[in-house]
Amino acid sequence: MATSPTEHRSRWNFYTRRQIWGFIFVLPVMIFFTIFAFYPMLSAFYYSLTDYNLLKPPVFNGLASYERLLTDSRFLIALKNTFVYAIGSAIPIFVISLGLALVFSREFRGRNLLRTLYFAPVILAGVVVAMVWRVIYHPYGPLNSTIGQLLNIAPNWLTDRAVAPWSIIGINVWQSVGFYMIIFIAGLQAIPQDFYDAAKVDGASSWQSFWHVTLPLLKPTSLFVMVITLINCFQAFTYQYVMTKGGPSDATNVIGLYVYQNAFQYLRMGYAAAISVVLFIIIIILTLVQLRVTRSEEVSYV
Amino acid sequence: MSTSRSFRSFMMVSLLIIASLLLAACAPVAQPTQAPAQPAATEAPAQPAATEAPAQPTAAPSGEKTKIVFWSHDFPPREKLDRKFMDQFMADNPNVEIEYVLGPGDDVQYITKLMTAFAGGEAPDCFNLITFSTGPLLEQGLVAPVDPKVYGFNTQDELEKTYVIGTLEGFKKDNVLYAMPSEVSIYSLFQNKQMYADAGLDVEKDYPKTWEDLVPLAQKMNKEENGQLVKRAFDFTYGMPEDATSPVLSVAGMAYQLGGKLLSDDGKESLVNTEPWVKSFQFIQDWVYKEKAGNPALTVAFVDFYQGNTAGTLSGSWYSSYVKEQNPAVAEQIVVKPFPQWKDATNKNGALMYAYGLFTNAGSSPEKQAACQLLIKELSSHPEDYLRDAGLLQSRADLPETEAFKQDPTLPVFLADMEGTPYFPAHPKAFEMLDVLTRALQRVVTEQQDPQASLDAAKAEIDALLQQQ
Repeated sequence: MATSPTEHRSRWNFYTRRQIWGFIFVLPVMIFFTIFAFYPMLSAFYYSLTDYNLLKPPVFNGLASYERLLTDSRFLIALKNTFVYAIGSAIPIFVISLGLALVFSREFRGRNLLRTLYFAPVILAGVVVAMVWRVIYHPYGPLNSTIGQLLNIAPNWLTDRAVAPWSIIGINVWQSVGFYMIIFIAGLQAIPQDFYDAAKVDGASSWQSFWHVTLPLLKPTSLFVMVITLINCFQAFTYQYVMTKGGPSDATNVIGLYVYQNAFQYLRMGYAAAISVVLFIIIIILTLVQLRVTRSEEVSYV
Repeated sequence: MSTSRSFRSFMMVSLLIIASLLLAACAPVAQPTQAPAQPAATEAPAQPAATEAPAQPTAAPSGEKTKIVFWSHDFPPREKLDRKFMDQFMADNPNVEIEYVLGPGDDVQYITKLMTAFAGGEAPDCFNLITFSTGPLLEQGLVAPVDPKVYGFNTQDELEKTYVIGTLEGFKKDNVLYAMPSEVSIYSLFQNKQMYADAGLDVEKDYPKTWEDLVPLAQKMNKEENGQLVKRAFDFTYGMPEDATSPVLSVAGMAYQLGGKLLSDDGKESLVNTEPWVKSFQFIQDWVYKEKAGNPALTVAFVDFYQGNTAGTLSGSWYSSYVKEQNPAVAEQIVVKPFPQWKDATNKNGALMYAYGLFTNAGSSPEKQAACQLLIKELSSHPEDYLRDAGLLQSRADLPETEAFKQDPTLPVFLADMEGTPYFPAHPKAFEMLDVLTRALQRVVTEQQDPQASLDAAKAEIDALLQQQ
């Protein structure tokens, strides 16, 4: 049935109005992302192709910074340290936060209090946590004077290059598990009780229920936790900057800190931008992997 | 159909907005204002004509006050004096208003903040800065030369003669002076007299004159509890986060005593992997691992000193007033002795010198620059107060004649150590060189890396920096 010109005009007005209003609503976010996300990203890419020391205008030097990265032993050390930090943190964070989530998904006395206590470190600023742990890790600090004395050991937590990276990983795990515990609890609560009831009817033990029901149905949550943990770890900076400045002799230097050192301490902004681009690519790859895997592993409870 | 049209329109408008924002963003970034042209390297320092009157701060055209921003690193004993003399300056110059901004006390953080401010076009009009980080500013012409007329002299040479010879060298480029010293410093040996007495020793007789004397002294004075060193006769600082730069000044001083140098005479090559450096690094490694006389994991020595647990540390004249603030009881026990020497030293020098200078931003307006030059003169005109209340040596030639100098028995030691001691080179990459050497030292003391291997790696890094010049 053909529409009259009046009807057509009013519909056109309706769609136009809807478009304009829709556009107005998303405009602030678009502007925000353009200024604070897209522009810095594009700028970083541009500066990575220049020789820029902050004090004089950038000079285009093509891929020189990227070439230099390949032979920069400090960059390779920082990259290795970042991977160790990321994997060394992600595995214990995953295991401990899942374990805590399983415990706190059950009803027991004092559950809310304990859950709050485990979550408490999450709300602390990273700088505060780093300062406090610097005191705890001091050779004469509370850790060595309690556990150290009991075990008759006195590790140099932050000045022994073999120990320092793991000391910082320990803090990261301590501060992060509360957050991921909450995510796992949400994931566990989304699993319908029917599956457990059915497993029980089939005679499954608690362990079998966990292994064959809980874990498979938690896969999207697990992947999310794993990937977000890895991304956060690749962006590490605060603990290393406050506690060790990347030392001793680069043992705890990570990419984020190395970018900072190059940009603001050595005034090599172009080179720092090139490192940032490499870090960006690593994180993008991780994110794409996560999207790919979660899409193929989507769980339906129907 | 309308949905797809709506989507297309939305996408087009969005892309247009994003593109225009990005184009706007790609406009040239704010650059630090370029300084007026500086004299070429071969030219003699440009001096104002003899008859020319010194620049005076004038009120802004609108009749408003000339407001200048002054930055300095945090050092509480100096801050009180700065504020006092700034208040006096503003009373004498009612058309000038000063905003005094204290940055971090940590040199690395302060320098980072200052350089970032320059990059963002928000640098202060005048500022205090340590010598080994001035290179990039001098190289880019971002600081203004000192105007000797402000000090009542016709030429820079006349002005320089009022300072101890050599102590202004850290602020010069191509023989042009760019700053007046707020502090000239060298590390000498701080000793705790009481701790010597507690160990049955007399600090005046038993203090370590040579590096070799340190080991037997440690054997007499060090105390352990539960396998941990709780009292130390002396300790180095090792480049840990609390004190990243000062260890290099000391270990470089040790190497220079043996004939070592940081750079070749033409400045094109690093010499840090030569025998004098290796021997100095080896000594510190042996101190930690062979003699077990010190430990980089413990509280940094200059903190442990004022806590009364370490009897000896290397520091500057400013340290006395700092200890007095932290622990007056220990401050009363301070005895300062010369920087130890090697028994087979070929040069008699102390730890390499450094200084803080008061600079004027060449990018500030002429009125602000003039106000800054006058303010810097004011802050440089009270060396006795800065010496007495903050322990800061402004190296004026007449300083030893002042009461404050005569009453402090430690000061002649610092001046004597300065004789024949060079500054850590004010090279544009000096700050990075310090970082390279700090990491080399850390490798030697935390992973027991062979000093030669560590210094070979340091040389390679420094040579690469020199090639980037």
